[in-house]
Amino acid sequence: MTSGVIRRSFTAAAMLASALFGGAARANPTPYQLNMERGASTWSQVPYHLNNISLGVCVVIGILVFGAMFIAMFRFRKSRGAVAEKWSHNTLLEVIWTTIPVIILVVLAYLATGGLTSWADTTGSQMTVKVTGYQWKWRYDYEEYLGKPISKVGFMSKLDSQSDQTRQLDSGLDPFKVKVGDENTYLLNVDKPLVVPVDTKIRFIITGADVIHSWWVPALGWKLDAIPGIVNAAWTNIQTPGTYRGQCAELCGQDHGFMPIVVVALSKPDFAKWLAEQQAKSAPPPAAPAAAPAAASTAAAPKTAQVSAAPVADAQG
Amino acid sequence: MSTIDPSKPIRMTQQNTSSATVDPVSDNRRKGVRRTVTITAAIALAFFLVSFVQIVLMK
Amino acid sequence: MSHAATHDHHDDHHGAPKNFFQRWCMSTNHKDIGTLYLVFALLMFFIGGSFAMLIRAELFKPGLQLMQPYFFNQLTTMHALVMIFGAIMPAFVGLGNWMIPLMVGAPDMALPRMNNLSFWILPFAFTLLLSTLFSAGGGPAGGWTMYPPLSLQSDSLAYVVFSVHLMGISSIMGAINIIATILNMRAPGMELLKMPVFVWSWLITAFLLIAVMPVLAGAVTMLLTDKYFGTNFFNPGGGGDPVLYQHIFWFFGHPEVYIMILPAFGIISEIIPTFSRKPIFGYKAMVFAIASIAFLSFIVWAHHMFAVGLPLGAEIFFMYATMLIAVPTGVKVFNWVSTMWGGSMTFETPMLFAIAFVILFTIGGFSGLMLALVPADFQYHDTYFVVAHFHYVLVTGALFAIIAATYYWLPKWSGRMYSEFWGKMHFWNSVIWVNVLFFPQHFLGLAGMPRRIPDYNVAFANFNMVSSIGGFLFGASQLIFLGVLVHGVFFSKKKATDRVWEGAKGLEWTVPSPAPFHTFDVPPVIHDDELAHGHVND
Ligand code: HEM
Ligand SMILES: [Cu+2]
Ligand SMILES: [Cu+2]
Repeated sequence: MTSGVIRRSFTAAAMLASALFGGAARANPTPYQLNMERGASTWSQVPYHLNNISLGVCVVIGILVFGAMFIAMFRFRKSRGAVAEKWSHNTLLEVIWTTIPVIILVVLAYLATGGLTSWADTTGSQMTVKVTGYQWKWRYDYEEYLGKPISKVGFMSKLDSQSDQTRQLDSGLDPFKVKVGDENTYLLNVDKPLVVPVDTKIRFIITGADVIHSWWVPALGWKLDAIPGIVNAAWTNIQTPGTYRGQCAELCGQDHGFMPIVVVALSKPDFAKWLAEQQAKSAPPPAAPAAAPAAASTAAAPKTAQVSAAPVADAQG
Repeated sequence: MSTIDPSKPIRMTQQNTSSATVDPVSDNRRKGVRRTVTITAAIALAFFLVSFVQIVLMK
Repeated sequence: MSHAATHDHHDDHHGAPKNFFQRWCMSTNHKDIGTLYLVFALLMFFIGGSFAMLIRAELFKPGLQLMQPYFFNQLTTMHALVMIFGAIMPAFVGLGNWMIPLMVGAPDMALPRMNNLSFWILPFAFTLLLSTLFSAGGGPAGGWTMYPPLSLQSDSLAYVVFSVHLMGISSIMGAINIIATILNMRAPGMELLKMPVFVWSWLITAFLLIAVMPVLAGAVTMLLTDKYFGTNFFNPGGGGDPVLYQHIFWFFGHPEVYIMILPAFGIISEIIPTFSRKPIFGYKAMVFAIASIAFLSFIVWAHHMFAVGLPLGAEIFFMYATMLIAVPTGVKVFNWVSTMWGGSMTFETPMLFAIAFVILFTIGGFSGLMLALVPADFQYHDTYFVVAHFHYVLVTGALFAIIAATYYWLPKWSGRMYSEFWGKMHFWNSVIWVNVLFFPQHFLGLAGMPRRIPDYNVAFANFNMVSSIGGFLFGASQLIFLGVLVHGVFFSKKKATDRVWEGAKGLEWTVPSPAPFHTFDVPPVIHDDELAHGHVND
């Protein structure tokens, strides 16, 4: 119903927008990037489309207003012999240019409200991850997956060492050489990324340990503050597997610029495998607890036995 | 319709902190100013206090 | 008018005192205090500007080249505090001091001694604030918004809080003085609805000031007691809530941004009619728009907090209220364009800056509208998109209006014409480089660059370099301004006429140029057709 209408109007505007901005879906920033990206989650297109629609509205109004101004500046110059007129108001015009903006605003508000309401609905999630901001790193704790609680899968995630060495004052190292494959990952890479499955409604509960941080991965379409003493909730549902990079978005002290976020979205089976490995690793060496096989994939089961002796320190960033 | 005749240099009173001179402000103005200051200062004080009250209430 | 005779006997004290200390430190004269404010604002503009140059130098290319991140954070914090509280606000107070009594036909401000105090607090406040940069722990580095818990980690918090208190006291006294002057000191016949829009804008701004500066004082006082006196207003460990600080801060903060733009609206509403030789379009609508913007500014504060996790209902309310502000703002822009339409325009430097204001401020308003849409703000918030937004409204808005006002009234102040050629040089350099400086920042924000970071991924390198180049050249262009000012005040050979501009109307143009030390000692007789808005009925 309403959301359908919203989606359709978004789609219509999206076609216009992608014509304008060549919107091939990329996830991470690229040189000379001019506009927001569509993102990779089911919801991330909401801000993307709102951005394009409101930008379009502003461009049109701008052309009209600035156009009128430039015409005035050419037609009514004293040097062209223009003589000033005496009038100084016009009720009809004033009513028109108060009403038309109101109508435009109502439309924008309607679209934005729909998008916001869907964002705020964290019910029906299939997975829960707790995110904690620290000066200056993130901690991820996996709480629950497909209705089953997960314990002891959690780790710190901080700036990767190559970026960290390069970013030191007078390091003499070249930021352009910090790469993973072809992609420059300077200041956008971590030692241990957050790994999540695609096609899963993931609920994030976000909090801060010391000062306020803000957890932001542009490809997911939102940021949310990580505030000490407060637990915030948001959700995402990533559609395409991939690596999505973001940064802390609330000033949090000297290394605020150096606490990136990396989310790796895996297919569901790959994720199940990964999760089982993690659970196995964190299990205490002697008795493998019953929690480990709880993970969905049976394929992971034999591996559990093998890795159970692996050093626990590995899980700590 | 200038209120000042440029051909005649204007002589006017100088007030400063060390030598107050004839105050051109009439009595009415004086009272008005006093009332305005009282009211505005009260508003300022009220907002200052409200910022604390707000905190206590929202806790 | 035969008033001149009545004054001939006050021979002993007319002109300004000769003694430098007496004249400037003990002054109770609204013109001299106005000058003090303006000179102070100019000084702060260059100090804050030099911080900005350092920031842009560090951001010139990826990698840290010049400074440690912590010092970078001190620079961004100080840049904002100095520009907002040291440059923009005092500049408007200076303009108000100089022009309001002249525009309403008052002999001086209502409270001349308090006026002196309001000004002289400021140099002390800023000496204190700037001195923290040289202290062991460094200056404040938690951003001008001073969010706890981060701001509580700073060793210089007490100094900053004290200097904010001083600035607040200064602004409140200044605001009370302006209200008292406008409400009580107008010449007979200068009815409220005949006042220039600039005076109206200051009246409304002054009310905003007395309502919100105390709230800021309250907020920083709580920071202080949280850090040093064991209270827990914002400390979650003790049952406090860091988000409450943000509510209080932005209850101050959003009206504060309007404090920095409403007087600019007033200035532009003076300049455009003068150089269009046509009365302002929709005088009453203009005044009403300012008043409604001021009112709305009290109920939109949480649009700065969309990402803190407010309840859905609150996000929706603040989104709608914020969008509503676009309507009166639009009315103002449309009315300025309509004032130009059908006029007989010339393009002296003040008019050029005013036209640039209308266009570029509107661009800042557009990005403001985009920011108001909560889902989009989830992406924009705390990125360079926001940085671009507020620099369009504050630099090409508030600052351009101050510059326009300076060119517009300088001949009245100094009695000499500034150099039109160099004024235009200043204009074209400013308007080009400011856009090179700030426009690419929209792209950076949209591509995902957070604000307040000293270093960035190489994907952001191109536009940062463009922006820095624009920044250096914009900074350099302001040296032209300094040159024009010094020449226009001390050296120009070209004497200004009393009216200065052909189309100028209003009381301020009826006094000689330079304006004598005392004016309107005896209230002027108001003639409606002499006023910019005296005869219009709308
Ligand atoms: C059409 C009118 C305007 C609207 C709808 C608007 C909206 C907004 C919004 C929603 C934000 C928050 C962005 C964020 O942090 O995510 C913002 C930030 C800001 N705006 Fe505006 N704005 C408008 C006009 C102005 C004006 C006139 C000024 C000042 C002259 C101004 C100055 C600022 C400043 C300084 C900030 C950033 C504060 C900070 O976080 O440090 N805005 N604006
Ligand atoms: Cu952080
Ligand atoms: Cu605001």
